[in-house]
Amino acid sequence: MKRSAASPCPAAAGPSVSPTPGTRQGPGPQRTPRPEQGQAPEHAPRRDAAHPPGTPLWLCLGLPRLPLEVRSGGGETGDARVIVDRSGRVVQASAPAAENGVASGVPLNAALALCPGLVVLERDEAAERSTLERLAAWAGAFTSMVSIEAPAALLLEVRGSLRLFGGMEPLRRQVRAALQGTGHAGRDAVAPTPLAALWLARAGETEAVLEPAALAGRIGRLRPVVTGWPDTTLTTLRGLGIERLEDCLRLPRDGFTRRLGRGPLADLDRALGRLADPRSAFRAPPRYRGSREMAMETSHTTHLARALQGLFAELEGFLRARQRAIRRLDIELMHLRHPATRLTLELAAPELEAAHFDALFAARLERLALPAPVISVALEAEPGESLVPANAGLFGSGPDTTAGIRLVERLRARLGREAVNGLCPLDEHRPERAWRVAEPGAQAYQSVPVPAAGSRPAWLLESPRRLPSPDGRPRCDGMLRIESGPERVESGWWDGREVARDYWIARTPAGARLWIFRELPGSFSPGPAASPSAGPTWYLHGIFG
Amino acid sequence: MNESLHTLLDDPRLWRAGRHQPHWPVLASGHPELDALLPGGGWPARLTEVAVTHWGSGELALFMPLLQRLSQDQAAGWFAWITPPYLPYAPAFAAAGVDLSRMLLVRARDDTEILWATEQALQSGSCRVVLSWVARADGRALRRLQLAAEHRQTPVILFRPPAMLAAPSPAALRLSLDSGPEGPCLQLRKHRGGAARALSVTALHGR
Repeated sequence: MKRSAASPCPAAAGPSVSPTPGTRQGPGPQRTPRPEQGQAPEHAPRRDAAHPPGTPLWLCLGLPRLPLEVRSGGGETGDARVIVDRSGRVVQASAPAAENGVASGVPLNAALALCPGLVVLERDEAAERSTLERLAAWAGAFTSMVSIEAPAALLLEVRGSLRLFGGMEPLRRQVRAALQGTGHAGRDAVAPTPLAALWLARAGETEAVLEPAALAGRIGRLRPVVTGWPDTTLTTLRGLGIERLEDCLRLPRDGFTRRLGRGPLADLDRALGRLADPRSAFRAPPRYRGSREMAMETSHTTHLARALQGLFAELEGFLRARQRAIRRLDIELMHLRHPATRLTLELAAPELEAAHFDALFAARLERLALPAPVISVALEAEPGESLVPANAGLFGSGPDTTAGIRLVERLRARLGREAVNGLCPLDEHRPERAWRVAEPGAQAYQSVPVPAAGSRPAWLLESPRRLPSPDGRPRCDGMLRIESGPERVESGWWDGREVARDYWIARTPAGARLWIFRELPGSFSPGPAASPSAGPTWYLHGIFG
Repeated sequence: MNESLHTLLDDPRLWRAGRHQPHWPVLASGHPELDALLPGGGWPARLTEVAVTHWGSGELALFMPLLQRLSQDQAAGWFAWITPPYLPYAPAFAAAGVDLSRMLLVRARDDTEILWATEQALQSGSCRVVLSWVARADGRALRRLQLAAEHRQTPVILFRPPAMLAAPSPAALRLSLDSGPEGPCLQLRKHRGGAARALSVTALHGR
């Protein structure tokens, strides 16, 4: 944007803005030195060649609402609010504020006069910068070459991605849909040079420019303001009666340079592809960390869920760019005068889809008691395993596999980890130790002898329940009728939890079948010892069901 | 018959016994006697309610052969147990030929959570059968379960106290397990097209 003023390199010089012989696109450590008049490289690729595979194609994603978005929970709110800079001028106004006549550039007191209920927020350029960096990491899902164009645009070199995403328009649709998931508003444009793409995006020209030959015509129709040149330059241009960039292109080059400095001409040359414009690729950090300030203090779960949805969408792009999945999400909900609430979502299998994280977080929110309203949310995740096509192994690799794991995660998110389990048999004679809880879907790692069919009850009581036996005969909902038995179980002398029992199958008068046992004399009793005169003590241990 | 009765009988909202066969897919129960009793010849891939007076009256025996048969299927899917009154005893299920690695035990704290977990299990499409124990459930919650079961073609069985029979229900099938003179007895309370008769559960034991 301010490149013209700060441009370190000399601009091209030429008699007029008629096309110079060639382009010098491509990687380079510095901006290409000026092509001297008459010394322009003749071997450069011809511009009219039907885009050879090496010709770059830039998709610019402009984020015009970024200043408002970073201070509003990542999306527009319905209230009248403005962002002001340090000098007290409005940088950006929300739609309701704009309806009252508040526009960018208006002094704050004028804005307050126009719209008395205005919410005034100071611009947070650091947050804009970090949001832009996170979005650059997110955009890595579409191409490996993403460049940040401060303050509010991303440049994606997409020539190599066209095939993968099925062409330019399908790619743009997917970029837009993914951006919508993050909650940001964006405008995209496509051109063979980064600067042209940026200018087209700023002007809201969405029709893609695919041919370098068409650049001059399309750029020429734009107004000079899209270039981001300094106000003095724009004023001078207005004074010259220049309305469109095509008027600039008609001016003699040396006169143009003399009046406006070398910057604007160099920009025009870069936009038209006459001057190389190398961009450095953004390198994302190894770990994802994102945060969002809420539009206002809130305990509303829908607001929290929406703010996190945006972060989850960013995370998904971040993970897709690396072809990685994660197993754990750390979420922090910040309060004004309270330590932050920390949540961890554990995933049963590596995941990267934002929609799945949304559902898990929503379930977790259900059982969350917030100590205070939330002012901002943060999400942190470390990309773990490489993406594997299917979570094979757990229960085959059918289509239900993922759904099965997701069900476990969803249930655990709301009910707690320990509330969802699988079952595993163990090789053990003591009935209460012949099983254990296991991870859902886990296979028994040892083969366990299976008891005879019908000899074990389908229900087991957590601990044996003592049955009254007034005359030595057990009762439970009436007198029990013994059907079969006894089966003797004697085991466990080695670990101090010895059992010596005779098990019987008995039926209640109502018809329920029970699994009861009687302690053998001299053995350890699970309950209070019975007096010897009352005969043997009976316990209920299971129900056949 | 008089005119108004005819009008009433022609009303499509009125269901008349013996007229229609159920239009839902069924899963054979594995008990021939029970299949003869159930409309369509098996458990509906819909909502079924079973009223049980005493836990352990044979309500699990009704479903054991189904679990055993589904265990042999290649198609994966959980057997979800939502808040059963006791612990399903692993050795008994192993002995009955049920694949333990497909058992999913869920413990919820109250009826709201139980209904939520049951609906999640159905909607995930990852369960072959959902068994759930819930005391209180209003018509709206039951309708949601019925719709989820219909959408995923998954049988869901709610085991409930007998008092629930008083309230109307959108369930495809309602049964009750009552004490009879010869032990527990299974009765069809609400059904379409099935024979209205009772079945002694003792006849199903030992299979």
